[in-house]
Amino acid sequence: MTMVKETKHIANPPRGGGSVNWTEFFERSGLILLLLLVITVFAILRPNTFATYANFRSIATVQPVMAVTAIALIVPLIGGRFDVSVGATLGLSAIVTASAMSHFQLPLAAAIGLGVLSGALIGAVNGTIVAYLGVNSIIGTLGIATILGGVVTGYTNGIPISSGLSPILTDISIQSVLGIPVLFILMAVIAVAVWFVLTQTPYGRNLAAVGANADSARLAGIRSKRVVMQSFVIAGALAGIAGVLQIGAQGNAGPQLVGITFILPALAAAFLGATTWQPGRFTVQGTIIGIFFLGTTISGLSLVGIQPWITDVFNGAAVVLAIALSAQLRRRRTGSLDIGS
Amino acid sequence: MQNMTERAEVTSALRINTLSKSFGQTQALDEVSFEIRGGAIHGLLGGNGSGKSTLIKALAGVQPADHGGSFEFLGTRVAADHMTPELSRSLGLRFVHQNPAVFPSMTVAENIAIGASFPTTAGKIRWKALRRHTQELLDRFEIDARAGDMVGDLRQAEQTMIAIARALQDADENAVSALVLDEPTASLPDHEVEILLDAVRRFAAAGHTIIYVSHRLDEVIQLTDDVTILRDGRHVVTRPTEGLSEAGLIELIVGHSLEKSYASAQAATPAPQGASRLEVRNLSGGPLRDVSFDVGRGEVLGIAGLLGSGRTELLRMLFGDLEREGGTVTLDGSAVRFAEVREAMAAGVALVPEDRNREGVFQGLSVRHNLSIADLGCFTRAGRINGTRERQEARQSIADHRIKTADDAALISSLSGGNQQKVVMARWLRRKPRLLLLDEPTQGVDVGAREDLYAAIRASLSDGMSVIAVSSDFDELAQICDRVVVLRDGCITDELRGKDITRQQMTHLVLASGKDAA
Repeated sequence: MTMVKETKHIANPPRGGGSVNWTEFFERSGLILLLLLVITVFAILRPNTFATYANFRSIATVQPVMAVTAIALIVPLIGGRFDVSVGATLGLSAIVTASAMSHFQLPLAAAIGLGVLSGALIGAVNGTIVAYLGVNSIIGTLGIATILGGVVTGYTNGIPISSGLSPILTDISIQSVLGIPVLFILMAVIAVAVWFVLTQTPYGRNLAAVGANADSARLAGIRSKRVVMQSFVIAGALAGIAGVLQIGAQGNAGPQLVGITFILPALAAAFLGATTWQPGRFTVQGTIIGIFFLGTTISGLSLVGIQPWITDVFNGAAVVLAIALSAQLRRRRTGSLDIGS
Repeated sequence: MQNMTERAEVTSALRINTLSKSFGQTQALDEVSFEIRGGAIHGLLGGNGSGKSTLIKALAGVQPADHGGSFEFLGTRVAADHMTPELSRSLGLRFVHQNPAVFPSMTVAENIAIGASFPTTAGKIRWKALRRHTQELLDRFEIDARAGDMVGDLRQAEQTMIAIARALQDADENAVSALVLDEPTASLPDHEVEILLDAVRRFAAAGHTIIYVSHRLDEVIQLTDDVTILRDGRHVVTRPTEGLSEAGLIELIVGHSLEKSYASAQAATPAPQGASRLEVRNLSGGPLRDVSFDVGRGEVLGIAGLLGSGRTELLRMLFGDLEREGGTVTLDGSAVRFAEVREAMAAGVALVPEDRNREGVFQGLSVRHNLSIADLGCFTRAGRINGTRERQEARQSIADHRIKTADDAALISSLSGGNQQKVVMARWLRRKPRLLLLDEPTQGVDVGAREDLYAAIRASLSDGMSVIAVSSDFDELAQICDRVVVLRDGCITDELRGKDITRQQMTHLVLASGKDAA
């Protein structure tokens, strides 16, 4: 008597245990294999320059700032929102930190505190615009990024702040513990902290639920707006931390970092990361692998003598390919292609 | 103009011959044959599960019927199992559903053009021509709107009429053989129904054949020339509407006459057993007006109502997801007013929503995470989720509810609809709610999973949980409910208990408008 409705077709048939599923294996570890392949190829091509401790040390010193930026990006992305202002936030926080030391003679700890706080405040503004005013996240944060760019240029007149900075911070790029660059260690600590929040706390679970289905989340008692708001505050604070680390990596605070192209590698890494580990989902682990894949490839390419403009082409292509690929994986999981609003 | 002899030959616009459709064991349509006169308004009636929707889907080609049946359109014969949406359209069938697919943020002209095509010259839309064409249509169908109006600004009845005009716009070329209106008034406010009915009469007067599906019997009697009644997938009768009363129609739909033995609910009646868990008094808001009822501890109260009766809104209001305008709700003796869902949850209320895909499951997440999303607090110590305990609980739920899944880490999208529903049910039962609200709990769920769901509900009832269940499947209500109230147009009109809780009684009561009651 009752109409039997067609049940939703099984996207991923349940797998029997036992036999190794090679498709799944390659999907999960494809990016790591690709990273190993890139390292092997360049090590063969440039054994004297690429495959050296100095080169790997340099990659491990340069990439942490970008890695923290990329980790900042994935927090709102898990909730289905884009924050394209993390680059600008990073730039502003670096200027705030440097200026606090250089112009106001504040101690290092206070300067760092102000830098991170400024990032969190920008995140709160972004979150309010997106969660409570209902502005599309890409457009809203793009607007904020543009404003920040203008403010930074106005404040600095386009001149980097390089004097009066605490040497503890500016020397950090040459420090290492047991041969591991301190910047890399700091990145690892931040990564573990964010991983903990995203996977081990109710907040992280609620954020993933909001990103997966906002209506289901509402009916499960989750305050979606607040959760989205908080994701932007976390992203802003992380961008602030990245800004502080940027002073350490570069030795000064430059006003030229605030453009959107700066975050393209971070964006590419976040989406590359979503094609690996737990395909279709943004993870801290995947994002870091993505960053080091991109950084290593670009380092290798420059060592084999490729023109610098190739870097732009490579980063741009990586963004598009990574997003397309992760969207396909997402569709396989959920039947929906779109990301974010 | 056709001459008289031709008209005589082609009196039936559509003939349906021995149409059958089975879903596994279920025979949704069983050799249904009837014909529809050209130019008439033909009512298609039947209770839930009578086969109406299946018949319409077969006509539209979206769900072809079984081999053996056929349709004849103005003389063209089509095998029912070969029907496709394209063929259905080219044979001149047009469909307008209860929530017409109009685009509220576009103009009337744009909405009209989307149904056919934008007139263009070298790729540029000829807006003037489109506006003229639209205005002609609006004039022809006497729709009170202009080509440049935003559709979202129009009344709902007019939006439906725009959808109808869009479906009929190529009627000049005699291309339309019949227009099927599927419950067009179900979600319309009362005062707009008449506007739409007038429009339907005008469409018919202009020579269109109309198949009108509705649960509102007073409308059907007012409007239609002929009616066809289906019951349990079989054709009962096709006859002129004239001479039929509402009671007569109900008798045909239900299968036998019913004595009015049911208790007419003048006021809220106290719950039959034990102390009452929930007391709802004069609840108003949205479509609901002065709704009052009680639910006892361990009781299952069913709500029988049609689409648009306010059944879903009632549950949403009790769950804090919709604001109420008036009335009081008392849960275990204390007055409650939930501003948001989490307050209702904290008070021990749970809701299994109607649309599992849209509002129940999280498709990208694992079975385990889907299970624990509403009771994460139980595993969290010092801000950290205890993964081991969460996994144990998930495995327990999977075993208890007989959820068929590879393991607790599998994506929920890998499960069948019935098993996804079990996950949603388990999520809420794990919270040990005092009051469980079920909105179409077994929609699209196979028989086996359905029994598992009922078993899970029964198990929690013995712990004193109370249930309010909304279902279009009246057999289901008859099976699981201790008591059923009938919701009609936002009001509770009747109450059924014990042996009176039958599909026939409920069908009878939700259909009766009370207008011709003695």
